[in-house]
Amino acid sequence: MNSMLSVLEDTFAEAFKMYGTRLVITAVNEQWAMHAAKCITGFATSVIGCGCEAGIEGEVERTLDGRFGISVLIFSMSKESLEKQLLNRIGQCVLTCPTASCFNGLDSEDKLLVGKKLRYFGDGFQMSKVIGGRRFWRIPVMEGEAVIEEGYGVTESVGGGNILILADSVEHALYASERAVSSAKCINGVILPFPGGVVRSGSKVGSKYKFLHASTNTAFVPQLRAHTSGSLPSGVRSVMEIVFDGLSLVAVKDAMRLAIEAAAESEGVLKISAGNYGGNLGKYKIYLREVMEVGNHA
Amino acid sequence: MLRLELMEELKIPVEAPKLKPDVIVNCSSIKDVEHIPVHHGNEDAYLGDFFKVSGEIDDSVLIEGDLRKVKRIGEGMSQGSIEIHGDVGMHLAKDMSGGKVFVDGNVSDWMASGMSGGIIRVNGSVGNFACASYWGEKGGMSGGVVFINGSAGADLGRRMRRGIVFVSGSVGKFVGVDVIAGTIFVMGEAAEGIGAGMKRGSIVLYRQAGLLPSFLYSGEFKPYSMLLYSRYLGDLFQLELPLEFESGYFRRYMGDFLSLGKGEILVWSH
Repeated sequence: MNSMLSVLEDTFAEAFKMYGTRLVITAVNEQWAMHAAKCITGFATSVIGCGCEAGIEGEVERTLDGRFGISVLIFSMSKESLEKQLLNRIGQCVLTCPTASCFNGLDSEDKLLVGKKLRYFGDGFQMSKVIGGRRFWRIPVMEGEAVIEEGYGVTESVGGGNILILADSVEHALYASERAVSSAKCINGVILPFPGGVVRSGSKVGSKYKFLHASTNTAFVPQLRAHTSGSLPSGVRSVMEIVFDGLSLVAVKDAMRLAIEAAAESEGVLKISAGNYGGNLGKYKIYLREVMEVGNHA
Repeated sequence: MLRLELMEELKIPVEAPKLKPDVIVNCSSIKDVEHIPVHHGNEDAYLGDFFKVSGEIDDSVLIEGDLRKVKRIGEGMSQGSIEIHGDVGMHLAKDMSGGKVFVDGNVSDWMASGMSGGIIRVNGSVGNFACASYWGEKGGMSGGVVFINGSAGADLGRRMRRGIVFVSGSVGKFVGVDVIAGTIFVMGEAAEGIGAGMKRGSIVLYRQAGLLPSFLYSGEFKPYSMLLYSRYLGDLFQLELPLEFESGYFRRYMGDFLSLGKGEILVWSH
């Protein structure tokens, strides 16, 4: 713990309120379930540029139809925008994918009735089936039949939890990030939406250009030390960020703790920090040392 | 669990619509249970006149004996469970909206008519008009799940608008007549008149049967929704559908074209 504290900066990650849902995608085998899951979570790294943040949560042991299943999490800033994203993504990525079906994976009173709109693709030949209190739509398609659940649970979630791994080389920063990602993925209800779970281009709010709302995080860019306030410790030659979106604050904190533990033990890691905007923008301040203390007491 | 044992064979029917967990849980003593009113022919009587009552009062009831002349057990029940060992009379679980009924024996006519929720399992056969609407009533079964581990008589699921009925044996004439929605499975033989007048809904047959000319062959396909039923019913009733059935191809007949024509009869394709 002491060695970990020495690399852990006394700062906080600033996270935001988002709305999230969990979908369970099943198909005839792993290959086709994964095609649909990868497709539906594609181009969903940042809500700023993609409209939502999404990722594969993991394999589902027992699915409603008994086939191979993968759960994915999708987050957006409002219920309305999440519904729009689900409509587009289920419609374009699951409805189109051979043998794939889409089910709700989040127990919540609050539901987005996406299947109710997607059913119209059946052009009047769709059929509704209520099984175990849940409504499913059987939509006739050229392959045969697509099964899409009507309602998807939505819950207030946490987006933008993060850590920054400051290392003495690109290789060490990347290796530490890979370890951190691999550890954090053990936590249910959390996804790391960026490529491989890692961001190399962390951003700050605003820029010198009026038309740009976010730009490179100059304070953590190693080769811009001459122009910044010098918050980057000497010897740091590369910084990677890991972003965490979760269905609950607890899940995000747990994932961050595992990620920090894994990264801190990695060779060449000089500091572990976090991105924030002075605490003025996000609803949640996740203090890194608090996260580790909670983990230690648990 | 409360235990009711029929004391002697009945010659005149007893109507016991209040014999259900909803009423029993409000009884404070065995004596209260014995004072639940019933009809014996055209006379008023009490449950205790015919049944020996014992056990603890909670929301589960065990009824034993030859109950063929006991009608309307579980009428309108919304909670708890009724377990019946023996054959039972007409109108069992009429207008049931919740809870569970288990029968180890045969059931007479009009079982689960007007049912809107809950679960029924019959280890035996049922008579006519199971899960059906009463004459003159517009809507039939509107929810719930029924598993008949035996055969069913005529007019099963008449005017059904929601719910699932699974029959492991054969069914009589006019199964699913005038169905509006919902799903009926028949694993045995089905007599003539299947789905006559149906608007929407599904009748799933394991064996090919003679169909009405107002149903048109509409192709062969693999309905993935069958997997949902298979898992759901499997969990609920420890029921195992043949693998080739749940993941196989089905011939689809659409109809009844004398009505809306959007109903389907799915016949497992051998």
